[in-house]
Amino acid sequence: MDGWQGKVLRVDLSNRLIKIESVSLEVCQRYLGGRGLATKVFTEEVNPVIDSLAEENKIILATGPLTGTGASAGSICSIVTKSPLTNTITCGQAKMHFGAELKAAGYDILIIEGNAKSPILLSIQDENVEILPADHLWGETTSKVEDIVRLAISDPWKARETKILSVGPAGERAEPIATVIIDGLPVRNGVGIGAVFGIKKLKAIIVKGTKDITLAHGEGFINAVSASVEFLKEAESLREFSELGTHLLLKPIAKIGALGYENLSKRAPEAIYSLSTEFLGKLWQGDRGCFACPIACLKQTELGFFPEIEEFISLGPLCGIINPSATIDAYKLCIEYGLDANEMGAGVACVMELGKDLSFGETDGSLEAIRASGEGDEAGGLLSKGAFYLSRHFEREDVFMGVKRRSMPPFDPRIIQGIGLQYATCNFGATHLTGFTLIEELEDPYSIKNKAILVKRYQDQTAILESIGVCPYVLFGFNLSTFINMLNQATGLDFKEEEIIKIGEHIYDLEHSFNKNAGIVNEDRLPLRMLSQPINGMVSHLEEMLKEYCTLRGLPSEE
Amino acid sequence: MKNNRYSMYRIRVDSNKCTGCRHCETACSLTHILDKVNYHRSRIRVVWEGGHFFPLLAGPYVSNIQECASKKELVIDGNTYDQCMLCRASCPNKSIFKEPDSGIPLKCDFCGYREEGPACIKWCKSGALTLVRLKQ
Repeated sequence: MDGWQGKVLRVDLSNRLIKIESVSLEVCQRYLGGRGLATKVFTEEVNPVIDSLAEENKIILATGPLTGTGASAGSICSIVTKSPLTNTITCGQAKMHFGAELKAAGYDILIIEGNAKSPILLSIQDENVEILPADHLWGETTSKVEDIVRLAISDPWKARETKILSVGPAGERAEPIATVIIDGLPVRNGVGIGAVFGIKKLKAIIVKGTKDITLAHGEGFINAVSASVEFLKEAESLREFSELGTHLLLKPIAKIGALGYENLSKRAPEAIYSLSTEFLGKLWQGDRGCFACPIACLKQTELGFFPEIEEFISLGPLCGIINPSATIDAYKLCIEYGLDANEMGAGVACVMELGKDLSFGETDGSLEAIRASGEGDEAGGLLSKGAFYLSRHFEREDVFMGVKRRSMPPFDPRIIQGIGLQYATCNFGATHLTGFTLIEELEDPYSIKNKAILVKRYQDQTAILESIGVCPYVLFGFNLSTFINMLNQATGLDFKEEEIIKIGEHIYDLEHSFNKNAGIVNEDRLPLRMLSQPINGMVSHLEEMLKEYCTLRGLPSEE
Repeated sequence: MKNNRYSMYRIRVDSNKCTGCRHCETACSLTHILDKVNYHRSRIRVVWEGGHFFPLLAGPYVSNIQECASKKELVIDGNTYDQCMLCRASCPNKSIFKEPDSGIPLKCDFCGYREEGPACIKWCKSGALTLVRLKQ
């Protein structure tokens, strides 16, 4: 099989069984790989009504046909599981070099089922797959885990080639907002996945592979990738994205007043403009790229990665803090403990609004709260359970700004209408990551015209890119057709754009029906504050957009 | 371009610009073994050492490693570097720059002579690898 490896690695932690199965070309063709294939396997094998922390829950990691091939931005490995935060299906995107290494080890899919009795570590080196004890890693922070694992490998080159995916102490305690970390970078959309790793007592997965990935038309593939790199050098929008990362959007979002401030309770003050990208640029010490990504949008600081835009705003302005270096510290704590930074920022903002020991703008207090919740101290309170549980505990659900129990990213849906529809309709709870309409929407944020089509288009395109193994950030400037061409050259198949879009729609439907069967119905709605408490005289017109959206997707309208 | 046709070229490496994306590794492996990708077969490798990425072009195979000068640590501005990690020779001590199955050492051949220059440069967007033409 060209492009795919055709192999599935199944690891049963309860019975310590390791099995290598095969996956047919026909299935790959229908679900592409990555998010699509993982969702297909997950929805077939897992009963939607199970508890997300039950032994029956599985974690499915899948690479796409372009992962690790050298296709531009082809670094993605999708992680599908049932999330304890939202109780929905969820799909995280493992970036950096993990996906490429898993593919090089010879596997398209890695299925993890059952729960181990004591802490373990899954080691994959081509066919040599082992379940090893991990008592020495239990309790360690994520960067420490990587150091310990790498130091134990005597060959320094092999140590560097080994890619490590791990959970921090928060994941071990199965906190609902725990995420998974690779090379100091959290898995995108990974909130909740860390808890499933923790309950399975799976501290880390380490991968190293030496296998070839065969391609159908090598020369055509090289030409397609070369053309994309050339295009990148010329396209203005991509050049800017490459330079500023997701912070490219910071200024335009602040300008229209959509930057979440003090738990989305009021408009950000003028001081927010001091967070200009020119200023932030001084904190950056260079760019980092995931595997085979010529864009290299990640920024490095002395302490590791610089938070991406939503994490930066959540841990900063959303808590009333306008102090980038404090935000970097807070982000670093989240990484070390394996906590989702966006959810943590939203949780702190909730605590601040409730006035429980913290008030807006308290830098040291919020850092201490994050540390305590990472450590599992009492002082951390309910922060590590997520903003939803926290607000419910205090019987103040009105301060929870989220959908399906997951906090919204700090882009105000009252100003940017389309993103509100995306938050409401995303199958994984409120996130912009599965439908990054901000790329196009900022030119016309207030109107609701054509927003349903826009949201659906971005959702489907993201699902497709995540399925073929390409980072969806490429939508900042590339057309989907560029990658369909690469896909066709790599696999030797002849995918047409319309056909591919159908696959994207089908993935959404699979996820949606899983949620429905799990009992998540009538939850495609925004918090009341977004609908009734105007900012700049505007509220979200979700209702109208949702109606149009349901018609487009062929879903029954909610009452 | 015609006048330069028979000039030599070299690869200029600026490690400060490297983002560690390793697109060069895939370009190299794809160009040398068409229809297959495997970074282990690449003649350029990006190595992380002392907090920086260093693109290394595979040099000639060295068998005499008894008196190897690279087995030392280098300290610059308080940063410690393992010189062996920054050495671009293929040698019996190293697991890189060797075919993963046969163990045959690999060496950069500038992709033969191509008008557009070596494949790694073409895919390096960061500016870490650039083409330098030398007039003869």
